[in-house]
Parts: sequence; C-alpha cells; structure tokens
Amino acid sequence: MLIKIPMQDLLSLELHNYNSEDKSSFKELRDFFMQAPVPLAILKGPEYFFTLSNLPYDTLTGRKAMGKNISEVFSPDEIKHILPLLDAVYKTGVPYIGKDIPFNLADEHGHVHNKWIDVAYHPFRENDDESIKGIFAVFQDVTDRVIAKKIMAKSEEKFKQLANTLPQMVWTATDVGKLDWYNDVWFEYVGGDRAQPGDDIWARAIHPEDLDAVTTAWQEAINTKTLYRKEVRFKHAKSGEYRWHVCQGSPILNELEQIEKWTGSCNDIHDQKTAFEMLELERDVRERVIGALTHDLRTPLAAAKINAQLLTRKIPTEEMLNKVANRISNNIDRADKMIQDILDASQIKAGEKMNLDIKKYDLNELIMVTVDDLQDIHGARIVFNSNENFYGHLDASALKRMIENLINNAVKYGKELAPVTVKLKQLKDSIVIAVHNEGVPIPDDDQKTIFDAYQRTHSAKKGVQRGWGLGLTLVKGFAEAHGGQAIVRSSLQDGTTFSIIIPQDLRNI
Amino acid sequence: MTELCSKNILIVEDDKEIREAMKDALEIEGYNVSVASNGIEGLTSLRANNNTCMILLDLLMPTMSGREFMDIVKKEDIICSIPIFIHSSVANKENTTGAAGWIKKPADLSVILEAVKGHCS
Repeated sequence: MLIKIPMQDLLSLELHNYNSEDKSSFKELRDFFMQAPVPLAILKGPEYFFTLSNLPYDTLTGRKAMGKNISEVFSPDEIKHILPLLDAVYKTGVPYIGKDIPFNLADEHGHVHNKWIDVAYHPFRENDDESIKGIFAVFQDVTDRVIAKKIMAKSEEKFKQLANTLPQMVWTATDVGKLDWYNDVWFEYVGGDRAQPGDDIWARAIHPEDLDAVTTAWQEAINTKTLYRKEVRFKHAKSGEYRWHVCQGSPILNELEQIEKWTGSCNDIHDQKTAFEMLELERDVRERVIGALTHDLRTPLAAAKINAQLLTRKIPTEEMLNKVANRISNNIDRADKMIQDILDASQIKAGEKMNLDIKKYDLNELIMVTVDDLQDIHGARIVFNSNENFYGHLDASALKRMIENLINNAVKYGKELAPVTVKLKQLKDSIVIAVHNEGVPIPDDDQKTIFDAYQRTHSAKKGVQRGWGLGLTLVKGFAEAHGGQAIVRSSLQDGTTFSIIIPQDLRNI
Repeated sequence: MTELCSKNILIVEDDKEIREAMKDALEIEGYNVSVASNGIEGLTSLRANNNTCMILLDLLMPTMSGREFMDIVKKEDIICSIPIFIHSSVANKENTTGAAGWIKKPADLSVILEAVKGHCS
C-alpha cells in the first residue's frame, strides 16, 4: 500500500479531495496507528508539533498531545531534558534509544507518578523524501520491570549484608556457574585484595589435588540443575594450612526451570574430619597390631606346645630331651619378650620414664654376642667388624634390644641376602652404633614418622613382612632414656642407616 | 625304595623353632624330613626330590608365601599330586582351598602326626 497523502490531511481527515479507495486506506492506517497497544506519537517540524498521538501515549503521559506543540504538552523542566534528544535525531537522523528512563508523570486527576519508560525517537520522513520532517516516538512503560529489578537488587543487598554476618564462607554464582560474589569471610581466609571482576577467589586457595574433582562435580550440578556438594581443601592465608571444607550450592530456577543464579556456602569441617580420620587410623592400627600380635605370639606358643608334647613321646637320647626342654623355655621367653615390648612401647608412648640398669660393659663384646645370636637365625650376612676393649656405662638389656630391632628390620626390609653391617664408633663423649642395609630407600616423608608408635612406612605396609610398628619406637625410647637419640639416613646411593647415639658413660649425665 | 619314598616329608616354615621341633617330632616317628624356610626354598627342595609323600606348609612367610607356593606346586607336573597340609596361625577354610587339610597354630602334635600318618604310611 502506497500512501501519498500529506500528514495534515490525514490528521484533519480533510479527505474530500481523494478517491474512495484511498480514503479507505487512510482510514485503515489511521485506525491502526490509533489503536496500536503501544504508545506512539509523531511530532512534526522543528517545533515538534504533535500531529498524532494515540490513546496509550496520552494515557501514559497523562495528557492529550495531538494537535499541540511540545511546549504546550510538557513543562519547561521536561522540555529541557527532551528537547536536546529530539534535536539530535532531527538533525542527524540517528535514532535515540533510551532504556529505563525515569519520568514524573501526572495522571488526568493531577496525581504525579514515578514511571520508567523505554523511549525510542526515530527520524520521521514523508513519502520518498529523504529529508527529516519530524520524530516518530515509540514509548514503552517498563515501570513494573524496573521496580521488580529494584526489589531484586534490594533483596540481593540484604542477602549480602546477612551473608557478611555469617561465620562461614558464602558465595553466589551466575547462571553458567561463574562465581560472582564472595562474603568477607572468604577474604579473611584466602587473604589478598578484594575480588576484581572475573577474579576467582576460590581458585587462589584450592588444593591442587582437589581442583579436578571440584570442577567435575560443579559442572555436573550445573548440567543437572541439582544441589552441588563437595569436600575440598582451601589454603588458610595466615597459617598456610590446607583445611577441609564442605561446599554446598543451590541453583535458583526461574519459571522456565532455567538457572538464574547460584547461592552457596563453604563450612570449615577440618577439625571434625581430622578427628574422624584419626579415629579411623587408630582403629586400623589397633586391628593391624592385634592381627600381627596374635600371629607373632602364637608362633613361640606353637613351638613351645610342639616341644612340650614331644616330651610325652619316646625321646631317644638325653641330649635331645635337654634340647626339647630348652626350646620350651626359649619360646616362653620369646613370648614374654613380645609382651615386654608392648609394655615398654606403651610406657614410651605415654612419655613415662624408663628404668635403666646402668653398669659398665665392654660394648664390643655386647654387640658381638647380639650379632652372633642373630647370625644363627639370619646367617653370615650380618657383619660386625669388632674393635677392642670399648667400655661404656649403660643398660645392657636395652642396648641389646635396640641392636636386635635394628638388625631384624634391616634383614626384613633391606635387599635380600645383601650384607647388614653393624658399626661401633666413638664420637666425643658418645658412642654411635650404626646398622646399615642396602635396598629401596625410605621415602623422606616416612623418615619423619618412622619412630612413632604403631607407624609402619608405606613401603613396609605394602611389603610381605609383618610387624607391629613398635620396634623403632623402642629403639628411640631406649636411646632417649639413655640421654641420646636415634636417627635414620636413607638414600638410593647410600642405602639405609639407623644410628643410635648415646653417652658413653651414663653416670656423668 | 617305594617304602622309603612314602616316608619323605617336606616342612616349609619360616620360624626356625617350629621347623626344628616338627622335624625332630617327625624323625622320632621314623620319617625322613627336609626343611625349607620359605616358598622358594620349598620349591627348590621339591624339584630336587619329588618322591615326597607330604608337604607341611606355613602360610605367612617372607620371599614367597605358602599360598603362592601352593599355587605353583598345583600347576607343576609330577609334584602337583603331593598332598599339602597347612599349619598356620591364619589358616581358615577360604585360604586353604586345594589343601589336603589344615590346622591352626598352636596345634596339637598328635593332630599333625595323625595327618602325616594318613598320607605317608
């Protein structure tokens, strides 16, 4: 439909010069304009004369504009704001689009209302003429939307205020899962400056080992629009400690079931978790120790029992009879020694003072006797290069048990069939007894805890050898009871050496 | 020769005291006893002397456990049919599958001798 009628004719309905077909088209167009549910107006000429304003426009602005100049419709204050915009469009032909523009508009009763309006001023051209003849104004009342946004912003502000009073970390995230707000607790915990836009505060502090699992779980929650929950370690800025937290997040869904936002929190559960892990560990240790203890105690009992039952049978010689009787006695001693080890380890673990029987001994001979006994069991791989007349004042039984434990460990955990070397030397006023074995070194982390009660290294646990994890506790405890210490050095090149360093004459201490 | 063969017993046991006591007990009863302190030594002994009538086996041993030893023996021609009697503090129905019998330590000597008699007389 081509319209070739000047606007003033259209508006004044001065249509008598036109044929009936054109008249009908004009009418139709005018009706369309006037009945459009959107506020529309046309302002013509540099004075901005309202050649047309429809009912929604008049209702929204609270005044009848058609047939009036802009100065008759708007107050001088309003014109001060509107005029520059209209002038710019009129001169340049570039449309003006304004969003959420506040207006104070009076209704037909003179009551003023705050309204927010999306405003569009387009250049208005007539026919095929390129020159701009006026402004085509399209308004949209967005007051409800703006008020809803303001309410939302206010409730967000309230949420943030509340979140800052909470003791745990609180956060919010966007619909796609990008964290966009953190409460103050985060900054106290993580340290550093407040977040800049796009700064992932949580990523500063997360334990590297937890990153992959957290990312996967978070993505899964976003995909399924379900609750997110994950335990994760964050580094505490002040102490440098990684502490366990449980983080939870809930999606806020809109009426289309789409995620609008996430809110969540992270609670420090480190102490509970550590306490629980300690309990688990203690339970494991107890079960392991009881298992090993039961087996090991049964071994001398089994030997003693067989020998005792052998006594009731026809033993051919007196020599054999004595051998069997001695075996019974030895195996009862073995069992008793195990029980003594447990009691001593408990005493050491409780920090109680150990009773020592200090006497003068030839250390060289003492070690030689111990090594001889163990050579009977383990063979000639136990090597001790003796010195002559090396005297010391100490508890012989404790020293023997320390050396036995170290040699037995070296045989158990060292390279199979390789020599285990025992050395005795003097270091100022102290003596050093070192037991060396070849083989896989003890990892640095394990070296730090290896003397703790019931602690067996990872490699020892993985190996076929059984143990209670008490031997080295006894070694350390006895060494310290002598005013000395027990140390370990272990590397791939040099193998493993456990050394006991104790004062040569304990009477001087 | 057959008579002698049927009296050969192998004890595989890591504890020297138990090993020696059982050896003495069985020798008094007239058996020929070989000893080994772990699975590997046991296999070496068995392969060198396959006319053994019974193996008395411990389970928890360093180097090669009793279970590993038994699994190998059961797959090897000639020695696979030698009955194995398990004598261990951890023996139970599950971990002794394939054995001729088992007893928990500390065991009665008479039970062990009875089991041996059943296979080696």
